[in-house]
Amino acid sequence: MSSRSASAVAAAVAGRPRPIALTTLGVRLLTSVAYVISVLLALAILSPVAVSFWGAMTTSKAMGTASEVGPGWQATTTTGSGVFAERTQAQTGFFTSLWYRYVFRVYGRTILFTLQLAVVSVVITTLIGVAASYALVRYRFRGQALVEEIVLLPMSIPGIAVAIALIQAHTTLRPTWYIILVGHLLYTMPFMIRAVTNTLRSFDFVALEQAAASLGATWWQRMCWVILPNLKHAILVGSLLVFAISLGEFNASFLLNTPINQSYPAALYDTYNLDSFQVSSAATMIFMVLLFPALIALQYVGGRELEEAGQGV
Amino acid sequence: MKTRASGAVLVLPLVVFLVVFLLYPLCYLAANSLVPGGGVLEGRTKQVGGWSAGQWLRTVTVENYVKLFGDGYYLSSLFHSVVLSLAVAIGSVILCIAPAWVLVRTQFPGKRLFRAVLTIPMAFSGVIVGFMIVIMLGRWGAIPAVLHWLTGEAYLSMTAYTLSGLVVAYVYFEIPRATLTLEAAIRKFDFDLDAAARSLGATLWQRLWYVLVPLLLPAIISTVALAFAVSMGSFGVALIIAKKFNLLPVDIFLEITGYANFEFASALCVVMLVITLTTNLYLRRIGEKRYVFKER
Repeated sequence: MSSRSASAVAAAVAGRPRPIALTTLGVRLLTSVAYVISVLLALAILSPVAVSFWGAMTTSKAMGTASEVGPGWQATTTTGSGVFAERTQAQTGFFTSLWYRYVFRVYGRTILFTLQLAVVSVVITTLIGVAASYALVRYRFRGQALVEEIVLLPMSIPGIAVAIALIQAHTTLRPTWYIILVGHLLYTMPFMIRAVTNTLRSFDFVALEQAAASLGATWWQRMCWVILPNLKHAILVGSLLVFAISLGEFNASFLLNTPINQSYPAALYDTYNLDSFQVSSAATMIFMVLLFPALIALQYVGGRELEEAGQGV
Repeated sequence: MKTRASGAVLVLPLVVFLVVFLLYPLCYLAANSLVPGGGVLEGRTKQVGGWSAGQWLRTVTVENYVKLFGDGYYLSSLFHSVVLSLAVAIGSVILCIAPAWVLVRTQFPGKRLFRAVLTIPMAFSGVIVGFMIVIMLGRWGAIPAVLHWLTGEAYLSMTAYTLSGLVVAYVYFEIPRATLTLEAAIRKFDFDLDAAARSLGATLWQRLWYVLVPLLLPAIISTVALAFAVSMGSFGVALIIAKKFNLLPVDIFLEITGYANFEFASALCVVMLVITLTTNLYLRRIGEKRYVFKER
């Protein structure tokens, strides 16, 4: 009896929807409309993916265009009759992996470069971001509000403006891949910092630290055994966000790219402009395959951090 | 335990990074926008060697801005960009209230998967969205093809290259941003207020209009501001499908790749920066009563 009333109070405190609030016809109607719109949006998001999945493996009679004579094409071991067999297969069968193989041959380096960029971004944003977030939440110092403001600045300024500013201001970095990395870091840092600061604000880590210090833990011990274990989840969510954003970053990195170092979205732009529908679809599908695991993992590990960090993406 | 201010040095790497790679380049951009344009069409070439402060003071001029605001072409692309971004911002917010509501207020199996699907476009670069709109609504996209199969007439063909196609494409990549922001706002909404209004005899319309909308308005405004800024700066989509419209980001891109006129491109960037930053700093601050980093 008492447990029942306690649970009722708990439910009321949590602000749970009462069944009575959902029974009127108008509310039901509005909820159904919301459901319909949501399903339509999900369909709208998924249908182009499905179309490009289909496009990436269909055979094409419209061969012999630029799609076959890309720079990587000659470098293959398949020569003479092998190439002929491949072409015949692509023109007559129903499904082919030719387009995927083409993309890997021509843009393989680009894919590796983008993955490298994403991983390095994750490492650096974790190192700089976690340290800075800790300092921002733990200590009070002059210019704190300004730092917090400026970290978030890239979220609201166009990537192309940042790219042009970087190109002009850092001409020595221009030929290297570091300038692309800098662009990616600028746009991914806010996500890491938001995820970590939100977690740090959600529990009283100072009290934990004090408890550890009273037991004689040094600063390093407190960091390694008290603070960082508590931040594990936030860092994971932040890293996945950084990885996903870095993988798809185009606005800033398109102008920062050099002919040698290209990020994969720029390669995608190349395929859209130069190649066939099939090749473009295959390139897009490869991007999805790289991206989807990170996004799905994000939904399953991400709780409150994701909701908070997702604001103002 | 005393708060040691010396611990604040942990923030130093971030500060150095931001100053070197964000603030300094942006200042450089602003300074360079005041230098006479060196584009190939003007027949000028850049002076050899870097420029010093004295040299900059001697050459400083507002020539680029005069050209920008005196030219109908650039004014029209500015106008197109602002109108398109506003339409997209408002449209995406209106659309995304539905999934945000569904995610907060209802329970159903596969909710996480549904949420994952909605966040897919977050990491899409604009070019991918451009490609997708072309394969769906292009000359022979999937939708016209299906309509042709059903009715014998390829309706909606070539929609991708029109203004409505651009709006659809932009809304596509605003969906996750708008949904996540609105979802957080609805989650914070105190539904006891709604129940109170209902117990006082408010009709559905009154509950929506006098309780829900005013309290969600800050979040809605900040979402609009955010979506506006993102749409202003995104040029991947426009690069693929904006064949009939001149948009500001595309103009900047062409100014760099076509004419190597970095100075004029800088001026265009500064104008774009001013627009997005004002919307964000003011509209968002009005909307978001609380500040992201402050304790609540």
